[in-house]
Amino acid sequence: MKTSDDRRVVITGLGAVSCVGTGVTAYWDGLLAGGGEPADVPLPHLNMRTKKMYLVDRDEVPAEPSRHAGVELGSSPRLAVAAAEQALADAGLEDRARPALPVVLGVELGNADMQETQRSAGRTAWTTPAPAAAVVAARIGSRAAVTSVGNACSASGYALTIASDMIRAGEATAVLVGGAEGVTRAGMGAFNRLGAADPVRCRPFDRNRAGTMFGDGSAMIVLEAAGHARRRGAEPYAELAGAAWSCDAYHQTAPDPSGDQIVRAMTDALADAGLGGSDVGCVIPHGTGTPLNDVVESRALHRMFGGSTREVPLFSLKAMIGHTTGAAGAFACLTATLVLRHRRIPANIPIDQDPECDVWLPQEHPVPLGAPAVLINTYAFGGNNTSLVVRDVTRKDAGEPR
Amino acid sequence: MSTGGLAVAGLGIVAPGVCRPDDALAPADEAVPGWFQAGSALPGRGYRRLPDACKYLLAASRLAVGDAGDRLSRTAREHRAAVVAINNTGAALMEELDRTIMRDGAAEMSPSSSPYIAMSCFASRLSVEHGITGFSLTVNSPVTAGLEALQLAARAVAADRARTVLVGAVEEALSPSQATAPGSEAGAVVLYCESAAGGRARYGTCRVRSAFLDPAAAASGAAAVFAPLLGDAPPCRIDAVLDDSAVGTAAARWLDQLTGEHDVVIVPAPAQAGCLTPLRRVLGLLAQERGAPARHLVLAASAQGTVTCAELTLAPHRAVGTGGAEAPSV
Amino acid sequence: MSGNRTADVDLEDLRALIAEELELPVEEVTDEADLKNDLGVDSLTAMEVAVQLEKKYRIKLDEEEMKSLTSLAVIHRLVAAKVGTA
Repeated sequence: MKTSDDRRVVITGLGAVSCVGTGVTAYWDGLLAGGGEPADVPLPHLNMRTKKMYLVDRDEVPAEPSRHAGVELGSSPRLAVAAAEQALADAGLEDRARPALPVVLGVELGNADMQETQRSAGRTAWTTPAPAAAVVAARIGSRAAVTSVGNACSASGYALTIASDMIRAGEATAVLVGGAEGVTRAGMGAFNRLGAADPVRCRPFDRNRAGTMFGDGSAMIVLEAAGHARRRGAEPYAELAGAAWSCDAYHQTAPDPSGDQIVRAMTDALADAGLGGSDVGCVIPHGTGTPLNDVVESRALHRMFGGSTREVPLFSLKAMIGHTTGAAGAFACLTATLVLRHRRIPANIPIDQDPECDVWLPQEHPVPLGAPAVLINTYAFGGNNTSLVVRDVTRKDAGEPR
Repeated sequence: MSTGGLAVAGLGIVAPGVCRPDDALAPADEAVPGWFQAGSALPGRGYRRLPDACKYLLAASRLAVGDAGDRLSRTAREHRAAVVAINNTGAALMEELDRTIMRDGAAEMSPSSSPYIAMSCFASRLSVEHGITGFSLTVNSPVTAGLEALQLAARAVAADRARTVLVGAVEEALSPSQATAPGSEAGAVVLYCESAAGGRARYGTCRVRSAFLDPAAAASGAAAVFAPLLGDAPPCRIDAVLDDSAVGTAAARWLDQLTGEHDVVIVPAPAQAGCLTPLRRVLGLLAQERGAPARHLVLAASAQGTVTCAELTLAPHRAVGTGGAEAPSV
Repeated sequence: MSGNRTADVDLEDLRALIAEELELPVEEVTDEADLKNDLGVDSLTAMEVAVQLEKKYRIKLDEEEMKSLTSLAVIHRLVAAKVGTA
């Protein structure tokens, strides 16, 4: 029987491969240790000023699967499969649940590294650009809906919302959702050309920030109806309690300086979760390191939290793992879940903070989580915004109706 | 597996050889240079530097919005949304940009083209054009993405994320060095959609379901995927957009057993298919003049395994709206 | 030398180039009109203008110079100075 408990969406499985290692434990330890360091991108013909990314150790990029339906696969689908297997194992879902498991992935430049490597070698025939979701579905044995979201840097924020809506609508009891990105010459070239590639590192909210720096990797999450998780005895990490979308309708690449639409997304996400600003114990901002984005987001946070803005700790994730573009929302959700589980926020990387970005970035040591929810923002070119609210489930019985 | 329904209130298409939505059921013409006249389809400032695919999408959206009368202007900006399907849309441009990097370095890339390394940029201009602040969503996959866009739109409307959604698909021809055969898709289709719960549908309603068939086990897995996908009583008329991959072949075989009671039309998809053909088929069916309601299924399957079907309830209506008559001539 | 000419850079040629890039009638590109605030030029279009200036006048503009391209008169002075010293 369906109850209101089946409309609540909980997080029961996590998986990750990132520049700080393979697996969720390595990921959390890596954040506590201050994240990764930029490294040279292993692609030929990388004719540009900034050639670095936050890279998964090449020895940890799985070799398989190397092909799907005749298409040679680059690193992104392989990273996705590795993280997906981790998340499913972590969730403890039975094998017979796999055929009914939809797959929703945020992937931006998909198979770009394979295509670029082939192009450098003189092979030019085009293959489908974003196969990762289908590759994962085949690998895990899904027969359900497979969705590949292409909303650039907010793609997996959108994917998480879609997955949550599927569960709330009763279309599925569990969904595998996440994001994966490999390396990309064209993507790096474009950010170089547009003056949005920081040659030093990814340093959001720093007065010397000069753009973003990409990172590769994959984060995967099993979302599940709370009632389904309870009935099979799974203990949820956290609840994906609210999500909201908006669009700036302003400019192709620049954010709307008013921040009106990102404020609306945050407000609606909290309302969707039935929470208020005082329930937010941590914000994982979009914070990319591009000069205007960080200022606009800081001002929007002031509109959200008013006088208490300086008391809400931010965790500037991209400073540690780079901007994982299509996977950024999934990495942020993974991080929020771990913050809730460990009830503390890792220390941010020390920065020379821009006074225009008047937000609190605790840098000395980890700070305890002081309220039940973590707010996540993901934004993208074209003003495609998502805000998500992840909250704890520890203080209430998983069976309690809302 | 099924998502709530959508009502279609406006139609727009820009494709080689197509003048009106009624023409959309004809086989797709090859895109010859000059097939699209941007100056007449998109008069005004600010369009020139956009990639052609972006212009196709904008032009088709203008037609769909115009065809829907004053519906969009009566909808608050935050209740407007767009879901756009793409696959090969950015392929030729991406190759050109990457070749510039390889040959001359990133500093020589065209500034206005560079953002299009992000595939969502094709849809982004749409939100500026129509004051869409609800959301803008891009979905990518070969063949099926157009129908997936309808499903995503329906789900978002059911979740109250928007009231009006421009659902589109846009493709651009592959470059000669990328294409393994002629016939890559070019053009755009846009459907003006609202909740089907809201009342009478002008052109009809649709409900979309999706599934996945592993290409490595397509023949053995077909029944377990297609039987639940099509349900107990699929419409008698089925259009299936299929290629000759393992998945396409398995789908065709499974549909074979339906013939007798069912009228199945196979619409061939090229090997490097984009996502335009199935949504174009939906638009063409909705556009046909008819005296009585009819049910119709459009099924699409991709080589990589995604399978989507749109169940249409076609509403009786006379010739297509004024928007169609204003379609750019070619 | 006419008042319209500085070194080899004809003001009207420059006006036509900018009007073309901005998709505006030449008469709207007055000497002092602010590209960003009066003529609605965004960062991407400004970069395109710079590309065309570099191409036509065979000059190189650095990042700071690009940011300083605020009006036709300013662009004229800058380009003329660059061409003059080239």
